[in-house]
Amino acid sequence: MPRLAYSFPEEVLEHVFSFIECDKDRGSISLVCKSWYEIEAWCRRRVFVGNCYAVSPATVVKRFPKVRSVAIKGKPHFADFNLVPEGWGAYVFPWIKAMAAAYPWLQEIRLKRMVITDECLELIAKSFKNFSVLVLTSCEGFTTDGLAAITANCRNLRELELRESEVEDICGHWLSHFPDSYTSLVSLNISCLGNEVNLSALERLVSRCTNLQTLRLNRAVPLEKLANLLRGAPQLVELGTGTYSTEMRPEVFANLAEAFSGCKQLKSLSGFWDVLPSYLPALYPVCSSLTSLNLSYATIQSSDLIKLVSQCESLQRLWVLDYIEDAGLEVIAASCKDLRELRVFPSDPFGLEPNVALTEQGLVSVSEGCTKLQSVLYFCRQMSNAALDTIARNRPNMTRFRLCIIEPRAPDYLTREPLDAGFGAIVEHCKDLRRLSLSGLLSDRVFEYIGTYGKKLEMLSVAFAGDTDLGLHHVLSGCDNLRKLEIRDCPFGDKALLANAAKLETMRSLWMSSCLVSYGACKLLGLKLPRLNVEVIDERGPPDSRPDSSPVEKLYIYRTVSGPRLDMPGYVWRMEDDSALRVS
Amino acid sequence: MELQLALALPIPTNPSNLLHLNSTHKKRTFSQLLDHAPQTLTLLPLTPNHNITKNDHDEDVEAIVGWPPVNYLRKKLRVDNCGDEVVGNNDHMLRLDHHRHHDHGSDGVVESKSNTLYVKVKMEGVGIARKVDLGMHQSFQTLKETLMDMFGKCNPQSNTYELAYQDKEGDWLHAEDVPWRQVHHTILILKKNNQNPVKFIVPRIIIIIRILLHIHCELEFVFSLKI
Repeated sequence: MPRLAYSFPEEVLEHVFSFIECDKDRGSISLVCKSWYEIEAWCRRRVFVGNCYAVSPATVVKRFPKVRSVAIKGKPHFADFNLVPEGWGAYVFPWIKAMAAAYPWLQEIRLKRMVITDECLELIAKSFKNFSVLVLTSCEGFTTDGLAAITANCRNLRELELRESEVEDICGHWLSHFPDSYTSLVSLNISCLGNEVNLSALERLVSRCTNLQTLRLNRAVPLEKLANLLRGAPQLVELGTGTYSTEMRPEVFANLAEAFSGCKQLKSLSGFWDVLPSYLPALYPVCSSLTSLNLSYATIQSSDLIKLVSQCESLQRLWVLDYIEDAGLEVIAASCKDLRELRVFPSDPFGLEPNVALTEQGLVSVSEGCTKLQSVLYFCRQMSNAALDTIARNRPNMTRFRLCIIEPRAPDYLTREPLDAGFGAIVEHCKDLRRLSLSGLLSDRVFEYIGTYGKKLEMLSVAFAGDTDLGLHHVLSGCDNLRKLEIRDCPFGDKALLANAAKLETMRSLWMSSCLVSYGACKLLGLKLPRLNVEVIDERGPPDSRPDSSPVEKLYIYRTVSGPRLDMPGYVWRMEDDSALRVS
Repeated sequence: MELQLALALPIPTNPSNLLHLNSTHKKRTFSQLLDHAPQTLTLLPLTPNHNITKNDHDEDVEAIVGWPPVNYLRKKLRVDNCGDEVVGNNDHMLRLDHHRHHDHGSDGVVESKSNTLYVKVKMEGVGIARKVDLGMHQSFQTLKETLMDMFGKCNPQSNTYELAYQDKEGDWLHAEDVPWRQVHHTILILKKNNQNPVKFIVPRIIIIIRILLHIHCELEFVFSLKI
């Protein structure tokens, strides 16, 4: 009897699979049997590529022929901090080209840390008739001319978000290329643009797009224009202001306050460059319903910040500068009981002396008062094991904990000891911790704790820490779920890496810079593990010109099913089977 | 010439003191100026050996690449709000010229407005520094007024404030003795030669109080020259 008689018709399976959105589950489905593999591939609509070099565009379009939405990430995270030299790669063009041919019905493209040129944008505008979502996070390589191609041609565009991308701002008129008949905009984020956009075009656009929910303006939009824009879009849910200051004029203030009162759906605020504190009360009508507040560009003092934030009782996410100070964080601990995510950025990251009264105490207060707190990014200048222990015990529900003590290798300021025990407490008590960034004085001990307790850890960032290879070994051998490991300026060398080479194939990527990994070890890894790309970044010239024992500047290792990449710049050498030199 | 400017409070006794100071033809030490002006607040650089020709690793600039881990937008924010254009300079170098050893040239500055001469001004007790565009001022008078407005904590009797500066040898001099044009010109020259900024850090108020025993007011201003 044919086995087919016992299986569901394809259409039924497709329908069932359509309810499965999680990539991991989709992957599991595809492993059940050949027909499930094929059906799943045929009906997969969303693809997420965590490392653009882990798989080739051709492989993706071949396996998943009906994709509507694609998300791709490029450069390593440390590229955000200038550790990846210019021209490293992550070009999206080969992807766009392949998708233009294979996915005429593609609707969504989301990119992070990739290089996208105007040519790419023009190709997108030309190739995808139903194109509706373009989100570019920390991308670069394009200008406002490229944006003009999108706005002029994408009739169904719903979302256009340029988040923290570097755009060459040639002309503000790209926004005017939306035809007058175009009304489908739902989300517009231009916060990273340097120059003015055509304001009257923006006003007309905002008022005719009645579905607009997110509007993030750039700094060049003056405060006087904000009220008008808000009146045109009272349904806004997320707003990013432009400059939040102008001469204090009562009529401007009244106008603004009234406009804000009209926005009954507003849940998220950001922007706030150049804040004049006397304009902040205009926001008071919306404060109590805010769930997200980004004041991380607002250079205002603690007292003004407190007046504002104390009214935001529904706040779930707060990003703020360290001007908030311990006093402000105490107020937040008392007022914002729903807080889930806190990020405190440094106002003077390179100053020698503390310029604000923000210490570990602020974070301790929030960890006590905000029982739902699970995600923290905190820059400060002093920390103690005792404080970290308290935080860990207060908040075992923590899932992301990133602490940056500004001075490298700073010890516990009370006991002068390493902060091993403190971070140890964090990994021990926070059993669901997925992301951790370390700082301060740390010995191999802390890595022992992380390897022992950090079983759910997926991403670890390490800087200026550890004593010997044992530290790295603890992490690689102990953290079962580790996907991304990034290390800089640590005395880790060959031993741990070679001993745990197989582990590297279970991870997305490993970054090591200014460590002690030798060229010889890199060659060995490249030789032994063909499913990894072992790339040495060294701007001093060919690694062959130095002894095998000489440490490499930077090392980026990632798993791939597509073999070595072909677009490496001159300072990147791949370690592969036979030759260690790139054939140029 | 290394310039360090400070706002001095009024000399409370008779105005002829000014003439007296001017006519001595002798440079005054800090304490001498102090004797004549008990409320004078002036500042000593924390790093008296700071050398204007030091190119990299000005203490206020990112001495370690990529640390602390803040992205370029936040670094730029600091440039914009603290007037420290060298951060921008460094940032630009790191971002675009990282692996090419250019000299930075005039386009190394993030904010390349051609006629501005931004100077960072910090006031003790106030966390946030401000920027003053010296190019916008034609005289010390307007500069004084701007500073007083900016910080808003001064006693509004504006006539009683004076500007003082410390020269390379550490002597305190009345700024108004030097023609404004010369000050402006000197700063311009420093800027054109792409000299790294000289940062003068505000010493702790406690130290000041020890030195200036009969001080009543807490005002201190520091100018740092940003190129």
